[in-house]
Amino acid sequence: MAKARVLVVDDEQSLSQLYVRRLGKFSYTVSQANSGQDALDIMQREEIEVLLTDYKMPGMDGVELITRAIALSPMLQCIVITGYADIKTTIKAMGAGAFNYLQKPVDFAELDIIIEKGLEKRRMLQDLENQQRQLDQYRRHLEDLVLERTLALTAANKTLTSEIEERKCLEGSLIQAKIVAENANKAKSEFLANMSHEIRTPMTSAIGLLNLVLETDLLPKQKAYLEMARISTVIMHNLLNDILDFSKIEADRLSLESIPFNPRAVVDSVVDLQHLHAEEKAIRLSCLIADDVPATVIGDPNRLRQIILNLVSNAIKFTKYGEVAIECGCATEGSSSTGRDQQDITLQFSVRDSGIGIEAEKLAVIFEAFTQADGTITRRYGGVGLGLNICSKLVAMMGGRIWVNSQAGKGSTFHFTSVFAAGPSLEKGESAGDIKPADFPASSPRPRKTLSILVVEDDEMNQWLIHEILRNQGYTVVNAPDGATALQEIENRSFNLVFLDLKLPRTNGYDVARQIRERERGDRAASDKRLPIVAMTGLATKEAEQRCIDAGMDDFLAKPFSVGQIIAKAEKHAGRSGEKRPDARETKEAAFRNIASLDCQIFDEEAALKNVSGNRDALSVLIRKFIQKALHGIRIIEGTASEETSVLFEQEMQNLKEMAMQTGAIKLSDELFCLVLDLRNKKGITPSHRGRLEADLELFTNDPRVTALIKTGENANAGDKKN
Amino acid sequence: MPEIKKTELRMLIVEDDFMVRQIIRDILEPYGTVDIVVNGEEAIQAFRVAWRRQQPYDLICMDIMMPIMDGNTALVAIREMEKTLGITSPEEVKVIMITALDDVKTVVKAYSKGGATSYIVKPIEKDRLIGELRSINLISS
Repeated sequence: MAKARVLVVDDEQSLSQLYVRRLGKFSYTVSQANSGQDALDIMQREEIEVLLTDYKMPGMDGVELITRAIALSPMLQCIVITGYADIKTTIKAMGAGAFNYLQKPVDFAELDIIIEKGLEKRRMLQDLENQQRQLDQYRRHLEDLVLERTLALTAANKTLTSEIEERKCLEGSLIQAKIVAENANKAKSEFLANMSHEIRTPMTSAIGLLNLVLETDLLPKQKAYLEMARISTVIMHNLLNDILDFSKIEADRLSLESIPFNPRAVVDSVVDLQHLHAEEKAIRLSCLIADDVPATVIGDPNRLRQIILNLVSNAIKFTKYGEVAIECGCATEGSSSTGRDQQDITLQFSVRDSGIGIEAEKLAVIFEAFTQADGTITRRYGGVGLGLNICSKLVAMMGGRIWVNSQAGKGSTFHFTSVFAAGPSLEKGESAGDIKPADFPASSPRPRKTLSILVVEDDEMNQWLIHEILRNQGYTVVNAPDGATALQEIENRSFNLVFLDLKLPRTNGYDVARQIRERERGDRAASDKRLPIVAMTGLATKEAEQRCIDAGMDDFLAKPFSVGQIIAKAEKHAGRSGEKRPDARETKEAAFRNIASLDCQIFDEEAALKNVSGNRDALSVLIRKFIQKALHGIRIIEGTASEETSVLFEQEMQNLKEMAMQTGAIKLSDELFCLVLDLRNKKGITPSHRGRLEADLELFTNDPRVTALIKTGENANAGDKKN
Repeated sequence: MPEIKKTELRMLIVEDDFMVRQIIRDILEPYGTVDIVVNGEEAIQAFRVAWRRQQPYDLICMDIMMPIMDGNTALVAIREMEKTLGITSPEEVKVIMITALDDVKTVVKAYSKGGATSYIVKPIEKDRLIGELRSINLISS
């Protein structure tokens, strides 16, 4: 270990040498300096551990030296040597940083101890400093580590955040894309629905015209070509209907009906439609309907027919030889197991063919849109592959399912079930024909009964249903949505029977019945013809029935009622009222006498003013223009021989008729319209046309309100000219 | 072949589409005289004029969707006029509404609000229209 170095500073050289000498005996190296500056210079060059300095020195004194030396080397241990009893100086030196002092004359043994102490203190300080440094290092290292981790964490966090952001962004754009796609799909469906509708309109005209042409005398060749054209239009029309259905289902715009119908009739109608196609291909088309299939169920017969028709026409399309068989029965997969109402009936239909069949791996996709088991099929057999998709969707809407068993080359059997509400139950002795439900949409002819029935019911669907059922029985049916309308109708016409719903808006059924009876009592002429009233209600209790009787009603029909019940009630009550109906001719004669009550005024000022937003001056101008035109028109008519009328002339009369209407010359407009209709029917002009037109025009121009209006206009004109 | 006529019918076709008009006219013409108008407003006027000439219509074939005034509105107005004239239901003019396949709701409206007698769906087929005339007893079967 290197010897400790001590620097002795004294301006008296003899003294410092003495120190060097005496201190050299100890275990440290001693250097000497003669002044403060000298000492500082030495300290710049070498490391000094202990500084021993005299206080009193010329130039820089001991205190200043200590101050500057410590500034230079903070670990330096300074000892100051002062004169005897110079306490002030000692305190000053200690204040500047000296760690101890000695008084002259110096006791070297004491000095040695002090130096040793100083060195020890320095060592301790150095140790402390080292430890401190080490601690600092550790701390810094730790800090570095923490910082490093923090940075790593921050970086990781950043990555995560940006990843989340990215995901969010992606999710957002996915949602956006989904919305866009859905909107696009909906727009597509809407577009398809609208377009198909637009295309269908001219298509229906084409079919109709072709049908008409085919009934005329044609050369065989012409007939064949036109028949081909007709078939093409029919195929196109069916395709359009498919597209329309498909896009309606996609756009959620398809709704099912709920009307009573005979499932047998539906199957029969499909056979009727398809047996010719089957015969053409020499395929046997058979149909087997199980006995337990009810005669009436409630559902959508058109959509059911559509499904069966699609399956059957597919079957015929894909079959070359053999047969196509339709079967229908009540499904054994009980409706009770699905938890549906007991009144529901599940029917199972199947269509079996001996056609080309479907390969096992294609079975799964055939119910998807725009698919046919084989792309080449489209070319060979036609179709766009929407039919089965529509079928499966319709079946699902009807609460059933559709499936297929098939073997390639051997044929396929398509099955489907659908759920219907139960129709009326047949009583024994009653034949199915008697309550044959509304055959929708074409109704079957029935013996005409000139009996009329008023149906008071606010629910439109119910109203329509009852209307259809009764109309198909040959009754004349009038509907009233509420009590007030019902009373008005009864006032205006005579009825043989009223079906009256008890729950009506505003006035309830009981009150309506009471009012009908009150009026009957008030009207003596009507006292002998009591109008039968049948209440319709969902409340099938004895009390409700009694209340109906009390209110003057005759019978009671509990909802939900069957087709047969309605017909039975109608037959029971409508025939009973023995009122002699006025005969048709009498009614007409009376109506002819009543014609004046029809709104055909010479001049309808109110309507005319409305047409010109109430501006009397404008109306005046319009009237004058019209009279001019009408006079001109009559002149043309006079100059036109009956056989010379042209389309242009007809158009001119039509325009004049519209202008007359606009001007409020209703009677004249009607007269002109007679002429137009006759022109359209190629009846030509008769002198009576001219006469009536002239007379009506005169009536119009001479109407005091018209003359007044013309005058105001002329005055205004004259006024304008003056100004 | 036109069947034995019960009487010479007076018929009005209300239809904005030229082709459809022509088709219906060709189907109906063997049964009587046919007038043609192109919207609901004209239908009302034609109805009124016919009564004034003491030649009311026996049948009106009216499209539901038409410009200016639709068929349902015109039907309501026509029934209103009949009420004014004192015409009761058996003698009311028979009105067959013509509709596209997909507007059942509108047809329901025609029945409940306007008192349509029947309706047929486009495309107009001769057999069906004639069948409908038979079922509402305008021609004998």
